[in-house]
Amino acid sequence: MGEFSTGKSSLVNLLLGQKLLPTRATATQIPGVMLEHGPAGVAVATRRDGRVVSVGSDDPMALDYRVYAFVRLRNPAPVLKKVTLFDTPGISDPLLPLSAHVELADTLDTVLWCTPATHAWRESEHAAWRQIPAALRERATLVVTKSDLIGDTDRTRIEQRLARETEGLFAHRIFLSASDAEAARSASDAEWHESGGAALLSVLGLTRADLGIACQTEPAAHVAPAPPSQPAPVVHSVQDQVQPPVAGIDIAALATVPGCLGASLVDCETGLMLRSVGGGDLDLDAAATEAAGVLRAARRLSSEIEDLVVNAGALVHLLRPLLEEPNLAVHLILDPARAEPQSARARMDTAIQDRGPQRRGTPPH
Amino acid sequence: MQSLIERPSMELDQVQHVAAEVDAVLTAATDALTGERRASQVEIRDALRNAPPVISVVGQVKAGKTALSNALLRRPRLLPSDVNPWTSAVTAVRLGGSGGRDSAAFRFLSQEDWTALRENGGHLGELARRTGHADEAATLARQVDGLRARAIARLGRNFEALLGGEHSFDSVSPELIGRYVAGGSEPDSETVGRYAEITKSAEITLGGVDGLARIIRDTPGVNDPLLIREAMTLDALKDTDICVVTLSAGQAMTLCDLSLIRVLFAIKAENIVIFVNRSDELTDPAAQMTEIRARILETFAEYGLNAVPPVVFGSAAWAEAALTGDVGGLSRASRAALLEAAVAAELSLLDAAWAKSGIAELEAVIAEMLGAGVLRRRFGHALRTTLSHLRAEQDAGALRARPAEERPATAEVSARVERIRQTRSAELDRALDSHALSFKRAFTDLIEDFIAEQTKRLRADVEAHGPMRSWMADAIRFRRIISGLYQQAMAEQTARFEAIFQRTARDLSQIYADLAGTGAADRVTPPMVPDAGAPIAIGRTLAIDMAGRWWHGLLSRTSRTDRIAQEIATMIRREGKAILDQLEGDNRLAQAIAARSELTRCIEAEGAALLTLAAGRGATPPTPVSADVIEQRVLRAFDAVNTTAADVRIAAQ
Repeated sequence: MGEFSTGKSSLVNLLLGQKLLPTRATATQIPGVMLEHGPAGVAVATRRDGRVVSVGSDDPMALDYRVYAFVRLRNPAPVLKKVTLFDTPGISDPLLPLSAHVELADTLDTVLWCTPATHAWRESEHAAWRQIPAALRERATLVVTKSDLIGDTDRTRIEQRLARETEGLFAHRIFLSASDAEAARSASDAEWHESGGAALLSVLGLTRADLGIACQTEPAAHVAPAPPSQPAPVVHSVQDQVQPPVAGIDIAALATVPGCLGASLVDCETGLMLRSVGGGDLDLDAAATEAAGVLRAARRLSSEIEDLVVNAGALVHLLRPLLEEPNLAVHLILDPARAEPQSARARMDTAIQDRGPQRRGTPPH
Repeated sequence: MQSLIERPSMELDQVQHVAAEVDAVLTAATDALTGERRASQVEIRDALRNAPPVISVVGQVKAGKTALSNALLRRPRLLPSDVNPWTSAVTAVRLGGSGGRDSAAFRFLSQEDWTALRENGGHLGELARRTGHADEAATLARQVDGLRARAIARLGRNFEALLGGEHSFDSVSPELIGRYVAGGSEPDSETVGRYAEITKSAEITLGGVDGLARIIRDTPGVNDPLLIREAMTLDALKDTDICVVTLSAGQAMTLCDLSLIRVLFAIKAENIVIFVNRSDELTDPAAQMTEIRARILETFAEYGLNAVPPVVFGSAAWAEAALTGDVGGLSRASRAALLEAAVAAELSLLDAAWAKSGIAELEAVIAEMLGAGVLRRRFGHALRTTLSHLRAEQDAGALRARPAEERPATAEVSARVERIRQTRSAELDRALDSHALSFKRAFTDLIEDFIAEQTKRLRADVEAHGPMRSWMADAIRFRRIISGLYQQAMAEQTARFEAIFQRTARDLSQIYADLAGTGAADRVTPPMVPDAGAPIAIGRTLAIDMAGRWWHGLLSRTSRTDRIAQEIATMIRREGKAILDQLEGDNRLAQAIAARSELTRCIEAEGAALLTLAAGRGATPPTPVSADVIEQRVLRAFDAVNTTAADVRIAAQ
């Protein structure tokens, strides 16, 4: 995340090891990009009106950002085996809605907030960052980008000011030159370290091997210590990094529910499908978006929806928001001829509550 | 080539040429005038000399405003800039006009300034408190306390003594300026930034510089985490003639830039130029400049701004390299880009740096704006008054008093003039009072309408989207309606004053007719009603844009729409009241005071002439210079002023 032209896409490209995302001096006019591991070529876009459409073979970078909020891409980059990356549209762009980044907050595990070294941490960034839930802020990193544009003395002084002005707002603070790091990808530890690449991987809990780079041992990266009032830096397990809000929810187990045609975990605000199983001929992603809309509508009637059953003739939909993270819901689609709704509901409860003990205690607000 | 670089641009010289001629004409006219008219003429000339056009460099923090100011001054590194924004001071540097000596005056914050800062944490602090963000208000107060503590640590027991005071010097050097306005974040240094925390403004004169007399004003940036600087920048716009909005090429046209430009538009639409600084940092300049320009135009179109200001691309860093003859300070990439540009244009490295710095182009735009707008108006006004002085002088010479028994006695003339003074002053007061009521009522109605409209919008949004995380009142619309009302109200007030001035002129002309019997219909020309000035108060609404996080706070604190609507209403009402008070004082009352003194000046000057006539001393002593000749010169100067804009434009091509 960050304001536009602050080096977000360069950072993502660095992690991918490809110039996948266009980088520009003006606000990049493409939707936000969510990158998951897989063979290249599959793209699903979420329109601003909430509809999810497949964009098939169209160039996802040519989509009109005014129509599409974000696009999901598969990419074979090694790093995506470990983390799912989301390059968000830059804030502070007068031509985009203000609060897009806030809407996303609940779906994220951690945030790298990019601020350029040449004019680091302006008030507009502070104002935008304050809107992010505190729980997420406390896991986030302030990345001071384009650090090659400033000298060492300046860097120290910027560091001092940021320490003062961002106190309590981030878990980590690092300096990064994406261009230097790009050049140093396979270079010596010293150069890699100097570019800030090592610090970046460290806060993500990754190593250069995760980027698919064969190299020597990793040195301890320089990471600005968290302010004393903060707890020790949260380091998630690699599994946790993938899609942590969904960790522990056994969507796959729902495939064995009698009559199950498909199941998914849906983010209710964005309509984005986070995980799925089955589906067959059904477009689970589009169905998830519609289901999220139904749930949002139902919540206007009552804020406490335990679950929803929609009998839609040929299909039965079961929608069950998570208790601890009401922005997420499990969406189960059943064949009415074979299904037993009551037992399906029970199975759903089991799948949701049967979570691993490593789950975070405090969900984002 | 170096000397060419150091000179102001050709277009500025063109304007200077006209300015010099106008000054010469105004001076020559004083020799053709006598008595009150001569004194008034000297005043007019000196007022022009003492108030050269002010060019303010505004923009976000770290956009390169100070470096750009230095380039416009042709004095690289004169004003210190820092990697961390620090100073809250406004620095005005006067140069040009050949004369003058180097001097510098630094004014310090007063005890009251500190108290106001501390108690309100600046204007944004007020906003924070109003929206219930005591913690934010506390942060602001802590910032001010921090500043004060640093100042006390540095200045010790002298701190109190310095407050409200001023330091002045007869020399100027970067070291001297650094002591007052430098980034003081080097606590080890004894001198750098010693007074930075308490300096409020710096006024510097660079003596013996040729070219058009002008003031370059460097402002603290907007969008700075130290919020009190916001207010300082807006204050600095008060008497600005041209605003150079500085954007950073790497991140041009953010929401904050747009808000600033919109506020400037509301204040003075015609005199804005956008300078896209740091173009040397672009990796593919040709393509990216096109892209950035298109983006700026698109943003303007999207927000319905029809008048797109001129956009100039450049780099203060390259200007600095050209002026110092040293490219060593440039980054590797910037040097490479420069080399490429030099080869392409077949120029030496330094000449290329100057050409690509955009400074000459920026000055051409500034010259055009000055020539076509501000100076043309100002010169025109001075020349018109001069002309009426000269004609009055000639008429006075031609006037013959009627025989003593046919004309009113001196005492009677004196009494009649005094009566005119009293009647018309009272009229002015009445006009002011009655207008105050209607203005206030119209303003209050407008605020209430706006509140009703915004509350309705809020409810509609809640209805449509459910509880929200962010919502903002439409500050843009708020500005537009206030600006509209202000323009209308000031036009009304000006019309009322004009009517009073005309009645005054008619009455005075009547006395002339009674005394001399000649055609008295337009013997006295009514004086000009002074301008009401720019509605700087509208700048306060920038805070509403910037306070996005407080709107947000309002929404997260309570989910009850009624309560939110109520708080928003209270906030807008208070904000509106503050703007009204400021418009009332800074603009409406200020215009009335200026109008009154203009009226008094006119009555006194004509009164003196009338008494001379009543005493039977018809003609004034013969003047050493023929008024006819001067009048011809004034008319020619008029033509010159009117054609400057066209000339400058031709010269620019």
